Amino acid sequence: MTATATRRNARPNGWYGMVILVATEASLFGTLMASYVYLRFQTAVWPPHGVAAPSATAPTVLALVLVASALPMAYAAHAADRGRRRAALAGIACALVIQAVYLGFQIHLYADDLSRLSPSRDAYASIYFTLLAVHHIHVGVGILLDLWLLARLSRRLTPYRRTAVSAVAFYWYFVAIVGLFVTATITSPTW
Amino acid sequence: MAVGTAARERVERLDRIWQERPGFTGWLTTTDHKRIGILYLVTSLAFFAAGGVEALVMRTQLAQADERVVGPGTYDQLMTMHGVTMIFFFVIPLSIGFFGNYLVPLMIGARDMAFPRMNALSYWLYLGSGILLYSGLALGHAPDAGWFNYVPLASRKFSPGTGVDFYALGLILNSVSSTAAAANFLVTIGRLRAPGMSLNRMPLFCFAILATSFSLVFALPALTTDLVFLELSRKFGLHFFDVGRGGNPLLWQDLFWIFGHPEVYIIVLPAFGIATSIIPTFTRRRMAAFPLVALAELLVAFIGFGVWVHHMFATGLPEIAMIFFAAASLIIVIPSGIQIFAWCMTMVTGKPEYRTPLLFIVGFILFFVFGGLSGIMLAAIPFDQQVTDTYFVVAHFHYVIWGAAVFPLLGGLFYWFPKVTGRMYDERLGQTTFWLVFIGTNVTFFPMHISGMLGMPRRVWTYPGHLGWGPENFISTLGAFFLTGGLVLMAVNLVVSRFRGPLAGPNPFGGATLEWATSSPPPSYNFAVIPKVSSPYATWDEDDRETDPQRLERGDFVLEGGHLTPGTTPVDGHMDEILAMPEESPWPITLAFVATLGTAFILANHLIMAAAMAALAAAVLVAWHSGEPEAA
Amino acid sequence: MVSLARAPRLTTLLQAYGIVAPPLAWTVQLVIGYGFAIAACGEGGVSGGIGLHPWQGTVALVAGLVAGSAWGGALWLHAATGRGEIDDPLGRVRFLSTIGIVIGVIFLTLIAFTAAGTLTTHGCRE
Repeated sequence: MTATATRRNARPNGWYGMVILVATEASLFGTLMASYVYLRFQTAVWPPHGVAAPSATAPTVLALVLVASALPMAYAAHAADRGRRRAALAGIACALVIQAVYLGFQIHLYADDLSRLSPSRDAYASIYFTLLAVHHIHVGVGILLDLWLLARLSRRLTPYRRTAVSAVAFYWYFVAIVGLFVTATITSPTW
Repeated sequence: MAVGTAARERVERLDRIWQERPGFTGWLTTTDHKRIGILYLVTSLAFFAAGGVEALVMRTQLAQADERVVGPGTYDQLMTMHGVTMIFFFVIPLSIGFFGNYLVPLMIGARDMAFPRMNALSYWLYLGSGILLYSGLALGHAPDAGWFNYVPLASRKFSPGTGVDFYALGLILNSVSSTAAAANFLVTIGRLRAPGMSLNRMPLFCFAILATSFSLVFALPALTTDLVFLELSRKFGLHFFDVGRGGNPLLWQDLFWIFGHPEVYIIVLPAFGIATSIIPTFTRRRMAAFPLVALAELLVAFIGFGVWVHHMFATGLPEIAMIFFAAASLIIVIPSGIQIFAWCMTMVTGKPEYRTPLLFIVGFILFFVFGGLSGIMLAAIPFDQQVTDTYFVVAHFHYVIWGAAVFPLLGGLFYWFPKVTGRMYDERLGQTTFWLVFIGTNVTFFPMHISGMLGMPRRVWTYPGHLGWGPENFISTLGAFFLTGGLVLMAVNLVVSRFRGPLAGPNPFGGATLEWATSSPPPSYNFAVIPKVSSPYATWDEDDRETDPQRLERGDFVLEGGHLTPGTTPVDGHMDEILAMPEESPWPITLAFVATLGTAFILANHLIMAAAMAALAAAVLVAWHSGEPEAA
Repeated sequence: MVSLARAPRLTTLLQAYGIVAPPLAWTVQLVIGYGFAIAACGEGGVSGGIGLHPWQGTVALVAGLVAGSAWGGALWLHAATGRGEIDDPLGRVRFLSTIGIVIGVIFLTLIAFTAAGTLTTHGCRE
């Protein structure tokens, strides 16, 4: 047995680290959504009187857009693994544009909601705005990660940076999927 | 056997490569898991002393009826700080921050943890969160709503001061530290085991840390959510817990205990791991039913996620909802029992040598059984509803947290003292310490079962004389001081031995795991040659250990070309890649400082400054990741 | 009865199923059982028209079947390794089937205890 293994079979450590981070964030979202369900099923009227149920169209479309942005991210990770720096850059840049547009729309909707409903009105408003905000923050962090990747990849593609691309891609798969769950939870009064 | 020239040169090269900056700055930038472990050790023991003083003041106040040593407001702060300090700032940092950090890489034959800089970050965040919390105390704003901080008491309406905010924000910061540590252990155990160490050849202590880390990853988010809800309610008037606005105070309790119960298993699992390390050494026998013990540790962690409502049996929930948790609280005894049987069988069929570490483990087993018995009693809903919020519960959890979780830690401090310091402690003083602490523990906590059943409520700052609780309380207080005497003796023993104890050599007790196969203390690179592993008792495998010097001479798995350690496959431990470890770095302490400062700004309601700190933290992270360790 | 000697996929599936299915079955029983009880007995009285005992009984039955079948699978696998039917050079299959048996017993007991508790309570009594 020699100490010169060149082909790796297991994933790189940084990727595993991201998987664990995703596990904790998934648990976080799990508790937030469980809190929504808990509060919802202890009242007969949800949303409470005087509060309009959220529309389902815009949030659903946006959630699907975010899922779509995972495709260029996956392409970027695939390209990075094969050492194709420019292709990876292109994939990340494309994903970034979609994600930024997505977040822009979401912030607009959020501000719009805030103008009509105060989070401190009642439990419904509290959990609604908090759950959404936590997801938007995760998207924001993801965008920052994209920007960082673009900066790092603008010069060279080292093994470290290759791991970074696959880790960030995994993060985005998670944020996109959890976005579907959050959207489903938020729009559940309309089912 | 003479050491060949090639071997000596390799060792010199390793020394040079792995050497860190000397002096004080070296400690600030260290990424060496052993030095980080020692930082955790010293800090956690300091918090232990603080928590202990808090307990002694409480016991003095309660020694007799109608005492006025402290008033109710101070008592509430002492009680809250005692609980928070002992759990978050003493037991867990000592178990995983010191024992876990120091030992896991050594036991798996690695040169460091998977993420050495993040390891340092975990420590500095822990220190920062502790300083933040205790600055609250210093400013007269210690949290005072109990360690579990129930709403509505903890709401802005009933706790208008900032104490509760110190609690919430301090713990959120602390949870980042613990989550990072858990992630580090999971990847380290998964990928840095020495080639040949498949999962079934991994020491049981590492299985315990594995179970603990999984629990941390899935439990902490519940607490984070709860604390975020609380702070949003307190600072911005949101209504998660307010009945009048569609909220529910039980939401706080549910989320808290979804975290809180796994937390107590997080507290005790490393202690199980320590017990399974000490017993084989002092009984000269392999652990009985090794795979079942490993499985039991993982099962306890898993089932522990499904028992949380047993902390809420007296909240008026319907029986049909609570019964799930009564069932699980009973069943969790099975994996605990499997471990107890295995430990006892190993001792009974081995040749036990009752030196100090093993004495503490015997004490641990007795306390665990006893505390487990009072636990089963509490699992029965009708009984629990009689004794909830009485001293019976205080007795139960001190038997399991102090008796079962801390005794192995004390035993472990003695056991690994020679490894960490290179010197031997005084055995006679050690045994005296054990008896003082063992007797003191029983004298302190046993009477609480009785005062509890006589109706003495928890968290009271004083009690009237005519209820007959006086004698039990007085005895408990005597026990507490007696126990403290034992601990002081232990401190004296270890501190003096650190400087004047006889040299211990690499393996004074004949231990079986790999930390005993290297010098005491280990060199910065842990092992000159990555050990060959064929079983969980690698140091006892003489054939393998005999090959080490030859392999060192040949350069087989010495990896002296850089800051390197082998990466292996997660299940089978097959050699997979050479991992480059980062060198010491100023970024972890910087990031921790910025994060602590940011949290303090949130506490003080300076949200713009807090946002600025977040931006600064992002910049530090970018700087951090600009240092890319490269394999040579 | 299928011999496991020429069914490597089934062997792998049974190993995984035996270890993962019983804990998962209990977890689902706990989450949807507790959740339903809280919702139905809470202020909202939300129960979708389903009675407490029918719900808990069905959930327990399904959980019991899943855990039971996983346990059965582990027993079968264990026996097959004992008969030498399965290629098992590292002893891994035997090991995992043993673990599966232990896990099956523990979680089946837990599911049964829970069922006994939830099916003998009276309505939403506190």
